Amino acid sequence: MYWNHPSVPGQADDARSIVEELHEIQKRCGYLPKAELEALSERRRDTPLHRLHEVASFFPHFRLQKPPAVEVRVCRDMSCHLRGAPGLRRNLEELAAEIGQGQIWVGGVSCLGRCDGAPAIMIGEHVYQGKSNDSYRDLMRRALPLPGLEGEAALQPGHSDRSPLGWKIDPYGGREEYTAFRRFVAEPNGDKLIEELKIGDLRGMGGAGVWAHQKWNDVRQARGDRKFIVVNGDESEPGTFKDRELLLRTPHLVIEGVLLAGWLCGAERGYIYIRHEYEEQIEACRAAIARAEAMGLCGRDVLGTGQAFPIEVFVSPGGYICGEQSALIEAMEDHRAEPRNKPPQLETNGLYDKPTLLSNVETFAWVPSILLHGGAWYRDLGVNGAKGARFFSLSGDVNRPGVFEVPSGITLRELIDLAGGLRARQRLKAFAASGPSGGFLPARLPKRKLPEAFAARLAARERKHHEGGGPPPSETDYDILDLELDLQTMRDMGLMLGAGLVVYGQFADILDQAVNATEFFRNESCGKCVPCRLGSQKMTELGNDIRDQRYDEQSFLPVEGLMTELQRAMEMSSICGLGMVVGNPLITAIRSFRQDVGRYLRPGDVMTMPDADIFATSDMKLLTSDMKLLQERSR
Amino acid sequence: MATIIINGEEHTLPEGEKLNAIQLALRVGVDIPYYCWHPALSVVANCRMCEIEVGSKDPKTGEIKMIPNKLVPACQTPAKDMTVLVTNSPKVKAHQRMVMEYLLINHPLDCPVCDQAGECGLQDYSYEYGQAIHRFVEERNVNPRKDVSDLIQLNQDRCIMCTRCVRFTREITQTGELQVMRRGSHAEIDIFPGHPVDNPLAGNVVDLCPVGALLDKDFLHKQRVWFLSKHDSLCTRCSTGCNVSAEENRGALWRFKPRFNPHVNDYWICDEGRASYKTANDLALLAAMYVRQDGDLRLVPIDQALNAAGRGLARAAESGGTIAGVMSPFLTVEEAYLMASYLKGLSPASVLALGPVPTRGEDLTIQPDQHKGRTGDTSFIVARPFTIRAEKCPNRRGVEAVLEHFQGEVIGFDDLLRRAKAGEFQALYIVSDAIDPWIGEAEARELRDKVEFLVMQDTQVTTLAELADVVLAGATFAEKAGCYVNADGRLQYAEAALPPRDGSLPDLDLLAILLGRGRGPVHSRDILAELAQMVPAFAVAEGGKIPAFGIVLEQPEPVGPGVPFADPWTQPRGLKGDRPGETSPKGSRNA
Ligand code: SF4
Ligand code: SF4
Ligand code: FES
Repeated sequence: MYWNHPSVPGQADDARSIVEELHEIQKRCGYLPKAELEALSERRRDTPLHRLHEVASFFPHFRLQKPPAVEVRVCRDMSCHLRGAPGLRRNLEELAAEIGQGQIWVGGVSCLGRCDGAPAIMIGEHVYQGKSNDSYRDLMRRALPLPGLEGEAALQPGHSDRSPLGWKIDPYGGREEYTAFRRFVAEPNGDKLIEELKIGDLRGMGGAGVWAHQKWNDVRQARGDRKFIVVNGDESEPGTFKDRELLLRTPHLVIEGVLLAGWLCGAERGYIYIRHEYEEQIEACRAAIARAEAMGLCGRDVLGTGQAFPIEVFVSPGGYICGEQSALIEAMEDHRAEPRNKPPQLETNGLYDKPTLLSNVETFAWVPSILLHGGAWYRDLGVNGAKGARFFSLSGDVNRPGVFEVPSGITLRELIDLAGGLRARQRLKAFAASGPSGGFLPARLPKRKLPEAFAARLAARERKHHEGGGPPPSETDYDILDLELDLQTMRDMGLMLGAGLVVYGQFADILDQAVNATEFFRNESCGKCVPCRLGSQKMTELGNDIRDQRYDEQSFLPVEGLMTELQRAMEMSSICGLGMVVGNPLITAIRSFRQDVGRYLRPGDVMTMPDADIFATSDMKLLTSDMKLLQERSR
Repeated sequence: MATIIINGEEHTLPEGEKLNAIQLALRVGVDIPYYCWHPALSVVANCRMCEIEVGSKDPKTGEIKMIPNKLVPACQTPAKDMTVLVTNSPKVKAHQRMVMEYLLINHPLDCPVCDQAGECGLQDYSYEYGQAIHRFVEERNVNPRKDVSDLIQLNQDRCIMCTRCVRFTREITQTGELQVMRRGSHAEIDIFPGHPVDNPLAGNVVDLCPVGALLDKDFLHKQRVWFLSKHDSLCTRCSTGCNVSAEENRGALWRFKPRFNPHVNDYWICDEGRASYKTANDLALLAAMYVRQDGDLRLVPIDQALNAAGRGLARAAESGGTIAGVMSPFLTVEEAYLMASYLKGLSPASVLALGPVPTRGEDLTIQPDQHKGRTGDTSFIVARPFTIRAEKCPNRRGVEAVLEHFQGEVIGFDDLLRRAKAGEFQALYIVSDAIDPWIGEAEARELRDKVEFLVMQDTQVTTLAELADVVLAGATFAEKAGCYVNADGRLQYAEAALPPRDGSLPDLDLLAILLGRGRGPVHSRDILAELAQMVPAFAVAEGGKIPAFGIVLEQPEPVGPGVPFADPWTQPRGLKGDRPGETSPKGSRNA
């Protein structure tokens, strides 16, 4: 055996994980009192105190100290930061000082996955989004347990719309039919299933883009007495909230995907791992599982075959790092969510060291329709030469931020149009194609710097477009609005594409955004490996120094070199993808948004700010070219 | 045979052992810096200091393929046939510099007041792999220090989060007191409030800590390590015979540090053993020799005391009385051999007995599991048990072997006491050197009264010494060189760490003089050679030579290549580059 892991829990449903126990205590007491931990350690006999403590202290969600009566957290990241979170936070802090009598604590929190309702806040355990500052103030007032008022309990979080919206992903129009799975059980042709996934060119929707047919087949072929299926619904990357909608509107598709995977691989159990802030989604999935069980689709006896395949929801203790596949598995095993060193891969040594199929929510959800309609149907959904369809969460400076099911290869322009265009008729200034991970792309890229393969294809297309009556293409610049949102295209350009897209209008301060994004990584680094733990802190400090106007144009130059070096070292040596991308926001901001940086530099002797040029050095390519490494990440 | 290519050179290594790239490189004399890796602990690869370029060579085409754009931690890279390692490329060097900068970023750089200075992984590597200019201008960590036990202090600000200490308490002692608290740049090592580090091997976390974060409060601010000279010694606190480095300055010992011995103590020592160096510094140790004149003990020069002892014992033999000798289990085998030779030489009828064997409690074995409780990759670990013995002396088995040879049986101390009280012996020669008291006052008086002539050779001022006719001041464990046979029958050598105290002589010299072998100091090696020749049980020590890790008397195993391990930063300055195969006894540090 390569790793030591806790023994695989038995089938008994009463074996609860540490994380679940901690959730329970916190729910009951509001925090984790020492005495409760001691009692828990006593009760679990084989769980020493330090094990509870290290797990509890890893996740900011768990409180080791008694909290104030009302805790208000304002989202700190990307879209919320762009759309007024800092102001809201100051606002609420002032109000707290005024009325709180020391009973209200106002602080920050990492992305809550409500970027479409930015700025979002959390009061106690509940998330609120899309309100005006005044309504938030009002909410906070009501949360305060004052004589005559009920306090936090009086707040009722909203009930979101759960209709299926006519998505192509749902072949059942919202009905829980499970036809694909029923057919597969009746006629379990695994090779065909894999073949359809292959024809459809379905890729992992978490961002790494590993081909689903490969992964599914690897786990299917992996040797192991027990196998597991895990759905990654941790979705904590700022700007990303599409799984939130999928889990809410189409839990039956996710469940059916898990059932299919489980049946294909011969797995013994499926887990849907959901971040704890997604209260409604957790509830929706649990309800859907219960209904599926009632229909005999999962649980003790699947469709009268005598085979058991239970599915359960695992409530994540939270944190961006849990989205990293192996960290997620570690969290499920009651460890600190620190990524593992690879190899071995999860496909052979996953949960409890057993072969494990772990994919993103959306990946699972696409499988039923692909099986029903055929791989070719899915493949042909794509446009502009791309294959398939996918969900994007779009937020930032657009009129109607939200989740969009679109064909792969759709241009950024078209997507922004779907979202009602830029707010207040702004011009596009920057675009983040993968939450904060890929950094910021400027609205225009100099054509001569585009990677050759891409430039050639572009020229051909533009010619065609022009001949077809379109306007003549620009000689010098490539308009980023023309960018086709497709994994392969983006990779050809040496860029990353995730599911969380953030659009910045002309008034955005990209340096400020970049520092903010770097802070996010610093806050979310697990701290296991040195380059990331200390490098992310260092990057943050360098960014803050710029923002605090500590440099002039001359003294900034060596700093820029240092940042580049730091970024490279982190990329080469960090254990997981988080460490590899920490430098991207600042590096891209500095390369492509010189003016935004220049605003913070005190004038020096020389004027040294050259043109925007994100392909300036090979470092940028290095940044994203080695996609194999990034594939290790599931987000 | 496995072929490995390191920095362009091909090396062949015997198959069978599971080594990682660090171990492998060390075998062939290439240093890969590391912090978090330790051969006894699972691999977590979190410090990233050991990262190198790794690839493989196609045996058929000879084509070399490196993993692109990525450095790989050597500590978790298995050394397989056709592995290609590059440890000295500009890319690797640049990376090492960067990691050094990271690690030093928040380090307080309080080396002038840090106890680790001089054997600090950070200092060491920043000199070798770092760069002179420090480019990050940074707030230094200044967190409060805290005690994680009565004996151990944690200076969190110096910690580099390698988690060696955490893994030790989980994987070796399995007590798990230490944990990583919080995460990211806020991560800290800590205990659960109110549950301090409490296990018999706790002190080892201090040795494991590559920087000055965990410190031995006993040693705190007492010495700068570069003033210490290190001696390869053995712990005499129990019959396990842990290999230690006894560290001396200005005629005193300042601490014990474990020395690696895979057959005995692995990389560890127990806390009790660790503290036992102190007995060598006791100011109340016997500091002169005495002869009873006119009823009183008089301080006399060494030669007079020895003359008196020799004369008295010889007279007893000549007058037909029986001489009894008590050889304590604290004697080295060489001393035991000389003493037995001496007394049997005076009279073949002399009775030789084993001194009191102190025991306390029961043997305690700490048995780490190859996999259980481990945190990371365990494939390079060889899990070995560690035993703290109830028998609190170093050489019962060695002295017994000598006794067996000279009189065919081992007479126990109780037996001897009974016979002495019955008046069987005219003269009694006791060599003790024991640490704890072993005879009550009344019993001592009774014994005294039953013999005509009593010679007491010891390091402590005891009742028996006060009652003796001649008192000879012998050597503490630290002042003598020689061999002991541990509980497993392993013969091991301990170097002297301190010169003889004023007024004393090492027991071996005392005995040699009594034997009339001249006045110069005798070398334990010569006596061991003689012992090996004369006493078949010790034949394995032929020529007075024993291998670095000692040798089992009954069943000598084939002598391996002998590859002591120590973290590079604990090496004495200037000896760091030594390689196995070179003559220096220290400095080789392969695992
Ligand atoms: S790169 Fe960062 S997040 Fe990933 S393992 Fe290292 S410290 Fe943790
Ligand atoms: S205290 Fe020392 S051994 Fe423990 S993690 Fe810190 S540096 Fe490593
Ligand atoms: S020694 Fe290899 S990563 Fe620390």
